[in-house]
Amino acid sequence: MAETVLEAGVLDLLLRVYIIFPTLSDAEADDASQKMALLDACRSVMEVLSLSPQIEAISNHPVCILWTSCCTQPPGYTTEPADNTLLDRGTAWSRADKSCAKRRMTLIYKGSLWNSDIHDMGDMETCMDIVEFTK
Amino acid sequence: MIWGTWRHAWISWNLLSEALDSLLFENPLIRFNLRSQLYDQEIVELAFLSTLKFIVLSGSSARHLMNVVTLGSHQDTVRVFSGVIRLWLECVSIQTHSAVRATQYSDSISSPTFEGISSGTALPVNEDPRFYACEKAAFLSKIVNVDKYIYNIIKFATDTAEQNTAIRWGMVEAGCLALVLTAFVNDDFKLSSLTDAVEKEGRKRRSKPGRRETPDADISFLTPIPSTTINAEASRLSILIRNAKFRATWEGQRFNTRRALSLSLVNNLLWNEDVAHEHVVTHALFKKILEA
Repeated sequence: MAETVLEAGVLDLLLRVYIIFPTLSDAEADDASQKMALLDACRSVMEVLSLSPQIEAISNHPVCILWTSCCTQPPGYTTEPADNTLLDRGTAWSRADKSCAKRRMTLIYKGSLWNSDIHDMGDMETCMDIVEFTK
Repeated sequence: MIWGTWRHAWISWNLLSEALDSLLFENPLIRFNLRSQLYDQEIVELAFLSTLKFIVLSGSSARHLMNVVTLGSHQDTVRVFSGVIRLWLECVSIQTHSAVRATQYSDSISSPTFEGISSGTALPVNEDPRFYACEKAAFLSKIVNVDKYIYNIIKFATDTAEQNTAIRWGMVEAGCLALVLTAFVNDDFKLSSLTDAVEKEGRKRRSKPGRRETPDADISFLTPIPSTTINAEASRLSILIRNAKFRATWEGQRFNTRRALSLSLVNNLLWNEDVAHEHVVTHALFKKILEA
């Protein structure tokens, strides 16, 4: 079953969800709960997939490196030093479809997705991606 | 038999692909060189526009960006600041060519299009090939010759230069001292040698046939601003700035604010003895400008 959904491109789908996720409205209570429900659904998908025999292939997919709040890292990744994150994200984007990088960059610009909340990992990842895409 | 041959070829191809992937993943040199060709010019240009937008809106508050640049390599520092400064010079070019009246504040700052939509509806992504050109023109026209944004970009550079010597080397190499010159642009000091070159490069990029289809197209906008050009303009400014009429362009505290911020940037960039020694002529010129 896991193989079927993997072949159908579920990870590519999750990557596209990741890219537009920050732009989804959470201004109203209903919107916020729907956004959280979407995140929970994506996390559930990843949890199920992580139990499949194809775990190594799954872990190497860009979405698993980029969407850190959705994809829990398998054992082994947790021992990596923090300063590899820049490199890992760069590698992930280079593996992703070009249209994904373009969409991500466009939405970062249009939505000013950097804010200035120094405790928000999402803002840090946005800045990493901006610098990565200058290469 | 034919089926067996094809199956064998397919398996061999998959094995070869996996081996190549592994090699690419493990070899940073190959990965870097390939990656530099992986992003289309439009993505790269949009990344620089975003960087400039972040900096002019946030100034010293752009801590995440500062931290990311600090974590990067010397090459990253030079590339990021070179690109941002070239964009900034395009903005200055608009100022000098259209004689935009200086303002302390911009009314357009409250415009949602300008600030970005922080958390709202999923934004449609414009696939129009003129998207970047339109966005850049709109953004630069809003920030041109506004004191707050000039101050922010200098403050950002000043605080980033505080991080470590490696960053300072990279920033000086990228031409960050040009930011000081841009703070004193007026009718008599137009920074023509810098702005004309940047404008010419921009026209050349826009006129290249099929540029959108070329992933590794013209990257001249990534090259650092030459220090010889900066020094030549600094030499001119060091004379002009002594003239009271020149300084009167910026009434009230505006001139002193520019000078104070610029002095902090120069001091932070050239603070380290090694950096200052390497750029002794530049250091002397900027001291002459800012201590006038």
